[in-house]
Amino acid sequence: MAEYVELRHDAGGKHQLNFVAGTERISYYDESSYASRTNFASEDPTYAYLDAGAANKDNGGSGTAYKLASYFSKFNYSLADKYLASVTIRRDGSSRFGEDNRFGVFPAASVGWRLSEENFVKNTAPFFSDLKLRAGWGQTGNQDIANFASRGLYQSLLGTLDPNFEYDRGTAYDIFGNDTNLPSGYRRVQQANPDLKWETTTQTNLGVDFGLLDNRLTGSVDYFIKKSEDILVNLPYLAVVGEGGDKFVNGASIENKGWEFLVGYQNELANGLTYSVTGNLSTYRNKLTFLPDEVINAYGGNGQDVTRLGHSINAVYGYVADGLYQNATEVSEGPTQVGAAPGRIRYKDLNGDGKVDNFDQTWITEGVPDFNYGLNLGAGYKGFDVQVFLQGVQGLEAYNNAKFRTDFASIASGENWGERLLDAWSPTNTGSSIPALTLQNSNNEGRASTYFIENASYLKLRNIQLGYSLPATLVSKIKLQGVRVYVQSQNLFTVKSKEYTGPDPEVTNYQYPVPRIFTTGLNVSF
Amino acid sequence: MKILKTSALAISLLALSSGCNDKEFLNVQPTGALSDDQLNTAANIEKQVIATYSQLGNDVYRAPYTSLWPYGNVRAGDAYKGGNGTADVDAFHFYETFTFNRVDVGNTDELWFLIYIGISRANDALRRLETINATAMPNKAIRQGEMRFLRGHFYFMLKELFKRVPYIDETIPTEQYASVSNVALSNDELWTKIADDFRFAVANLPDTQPEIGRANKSAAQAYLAKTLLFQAYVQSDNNAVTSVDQAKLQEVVTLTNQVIASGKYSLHSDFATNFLTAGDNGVESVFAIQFSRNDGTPKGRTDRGNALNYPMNPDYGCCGFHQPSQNLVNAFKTDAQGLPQFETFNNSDLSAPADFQTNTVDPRLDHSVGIPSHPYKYSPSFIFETSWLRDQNTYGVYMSMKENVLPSDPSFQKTPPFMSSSKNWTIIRYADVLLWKAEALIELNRPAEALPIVNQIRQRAQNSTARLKTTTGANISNYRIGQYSAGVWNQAYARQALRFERRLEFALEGQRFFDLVRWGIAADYLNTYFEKEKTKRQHLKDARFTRGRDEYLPIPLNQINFSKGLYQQNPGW
Repeated sequence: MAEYVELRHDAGGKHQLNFVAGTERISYYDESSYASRTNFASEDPTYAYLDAGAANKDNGGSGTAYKLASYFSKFNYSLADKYLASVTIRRDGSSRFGEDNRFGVFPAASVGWRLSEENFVKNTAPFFSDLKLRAGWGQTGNQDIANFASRGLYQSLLGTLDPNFEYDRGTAYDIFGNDTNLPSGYRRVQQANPDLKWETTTQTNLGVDFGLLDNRLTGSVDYFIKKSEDILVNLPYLAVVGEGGDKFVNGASIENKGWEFLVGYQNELANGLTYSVTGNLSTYRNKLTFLPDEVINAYGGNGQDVTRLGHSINAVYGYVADGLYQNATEVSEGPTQVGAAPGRIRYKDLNGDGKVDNFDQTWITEGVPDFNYGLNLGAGYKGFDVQVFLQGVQGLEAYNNAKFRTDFASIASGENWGERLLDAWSPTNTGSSIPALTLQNSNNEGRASTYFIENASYLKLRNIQLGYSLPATLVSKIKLQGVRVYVQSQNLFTVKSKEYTGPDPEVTNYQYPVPRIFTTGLNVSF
Repeated sequence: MKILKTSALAISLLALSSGCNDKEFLNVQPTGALSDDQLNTAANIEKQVIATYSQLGNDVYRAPYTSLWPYGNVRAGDAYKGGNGTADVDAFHFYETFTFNRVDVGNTDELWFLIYIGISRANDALRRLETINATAMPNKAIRQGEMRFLRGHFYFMLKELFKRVPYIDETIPTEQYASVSNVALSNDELWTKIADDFRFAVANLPDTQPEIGRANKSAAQAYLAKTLLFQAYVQSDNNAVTSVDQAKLQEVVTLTNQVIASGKYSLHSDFATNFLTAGDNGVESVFAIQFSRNDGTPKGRTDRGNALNYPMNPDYGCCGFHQPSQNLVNAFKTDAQGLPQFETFNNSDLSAPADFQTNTVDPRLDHSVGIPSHPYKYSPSFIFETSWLRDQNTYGVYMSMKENVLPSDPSFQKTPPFMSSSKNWTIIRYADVLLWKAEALIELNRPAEALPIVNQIRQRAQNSTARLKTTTGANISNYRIGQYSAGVWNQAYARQALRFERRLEFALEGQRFFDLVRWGIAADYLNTYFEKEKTKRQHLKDARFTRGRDEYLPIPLNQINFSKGLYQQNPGW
């Protein structure tokens, strides 16, 4: 349900005023149920009704709900299209938060100044066809958590559906010892947090838009600072708390800062050749700026002397792999490391206490690239057109999860082994950086370490397309609007670092590489 | 100004139309769940008691805290890990060989967590029981006794596995859990806390319970006796046994006498009954986990703690873990008097089929160990073959048997890939009560009183050959078992005999390692075992027990980190 009023005021041509105020109520309710049986004598849809199934009667159902109440108002003002201002205030309430914290107030404001409309710019810098300065500041709220996140919850569960691979969470027990009429209790599934409140993100933007040479050359430069505070997180907990120790809390602050550059040039030559070039480059830095004691465990580190504070939310905590042990002497002279042996990964004793342990881990990558970039090229001439899109990431040290499978025979037990293992270290192949073959992972080489950190920079030809449109004169004769044929390829080539051992540096989570796709097409418009 | 006035009016109109009932509007009750407060009624407290019992058996193959087979048997040289080579659940291989065990093995962390779930359920019930008055809940004290019994059980397991653990009871609010260190109590104080729970249970539980699954007074007396027996062996900080507390031993004798005097328990005439579904809640079962199937739950509430331990023949399927060691099989050899060969049993191997005829053996061998060409699980025509083995080259030819049931047993439950059953898992068997008493008497230097008890156990074993027959009705192996005579039965001899008897009687029942640590002999015993066994089994080549460290699992590193360094690691780790 939403209601709003809108007021417009046009005060004599130059002043434009616009005011909107509204309120909104969202009430979400979802309920599901199912029933199933198996062993149908016939799979014919006219036969297979539930009553016809002979075995495994099963059914289930669940429901969930949330509500949002919002008030908002927006005030827009512009003076002579030169000075622009906008102010927004929202007050949002969510059923997901604690009773006294359901509402949050989120103001925002922006101003713009179209310099190119000013006489002093027109006079002194007439090559600017457009020039605008922008500034914005605003807060937004986040309530993206479980619907009953602030509540303490208890549920009954007769028994876990997959008793093989999950520990059973059941609450029923054969107290009578006769396999029937099992009474059941309740288990806690979540702890209450009546203080739970909105996560707030405050963003500040500064930007300039420009156009030169009659807007043939256009572009923009943006700088942003985005700070999220009271970040919502489901807190990991000490085992002594028992099951259902889960608790949503507000905690850390994370700051993102970055630049975005965009520049484009488009032109048409006298001979009818049109072309365009658009490039963009963006860079950001991410940092956890505040980490209250309560939520330290939600963000990695060792909970003691190393926390994520000051590091990126993508940063990975782990050991520093320092090549392979080459012989028994190196092993005996090295720091104590459970499982150390020739051909095994040597981990650095960072604190120099003579043993490799918990306190020899550090942040081994920030997981943030130096910059992202893209380049769009287009041209057209007498019915022919070509479009090229290149995209890249530079300076990203990423965790290559595929290496678990490609470099070890002992970690993903029972799976196919990778080809790289053919070049594994052995006493006669000591130059290899791949650990020696073993069926038993005594050295715990699956641990987070720099062995898995690789340069995942890449440049991809995302898209190249060549097309030809039949001349309009020809097309109209056969009563069509347009006919175009084209050939296209996506991801035709990738330039990547030699250091990256997986097939595709864009996919570091051991899933399928992004496919190369070839397409030919015919567009006909009537 | 006109504009401002209009907008103010508009905002107030909006507020009037929907603003005043926001509080009510946004108050959405959780669906499909109850709140903490709703569970404080007598009926719901009863259910929280059930939920605590339920956690007795909520097991998973990775951290089997019910059967304790990797911790009690594999670490004790009674069984190899088994399965598909050393990498198959490699944590158990690290437990078995000690050398490569680490503080960050995930299975150890999960084990710790699963047991604390039991403690948290018990504390949840106890917290509610404390608030209700006895008029609203007349059996309040009994239920409190049951919950403290179960909490004592969970803490006992943590204690024997980890030594120093955070002790949290129902009086501590959850917000303060993070400030309770695992070394807040001394080793001895922690034992006393556990004993206190059982003392409360003894004082408040009835002699018998209307429901067979509930703990009664005798079960509490028995568990208290077990606790005091462990506590009696005083341990130093580096796990060495420095003295044995005679007063505690005396109390063990008193308590076990009370259990015996209750007249409710006796030894099954046939040892086999303990390991058959038909023996569930029989006369020898003092306290057991009640498993069930076809019980209205999705997959049954079956024994997951032994889910990996069935052989690999078509009748079962998976997974061939928990393989008795050659050393254990050899231990069942008997001498001309039918007595164990304390010093010499491991000088030669029982392995070829003929060996089980040319030597004499204790009948409990064929109750405990699946042996090629021998009938499996008392079924004369169901012959254990080497083709049932998963990885014979690594782990040899024996399989465990006590925990398993026949494929035709009504309690058998296939949940591929793993196998299970609804046969009870016994926590306290009456034979254990008898041998605790015998052990206490021997350590009190009253060995003569222990002799008839040990012989009672052996007499029953001797009588237990009726099910150990081939299809022709002949005995499977050449059994000879005799009783100890008073002539040589001094304290030192009795101690040796008692310790050997426990090994044979409780082989593969999850106890042995904790016995070795209690007696303070784990390091010497296991390093002697490895020295010989590694010449037969390649997977033990790096095995070595580090004295002062390997008596206990490490405190899981995750928990130390989550406690922000409050928890202290066990010595040596």
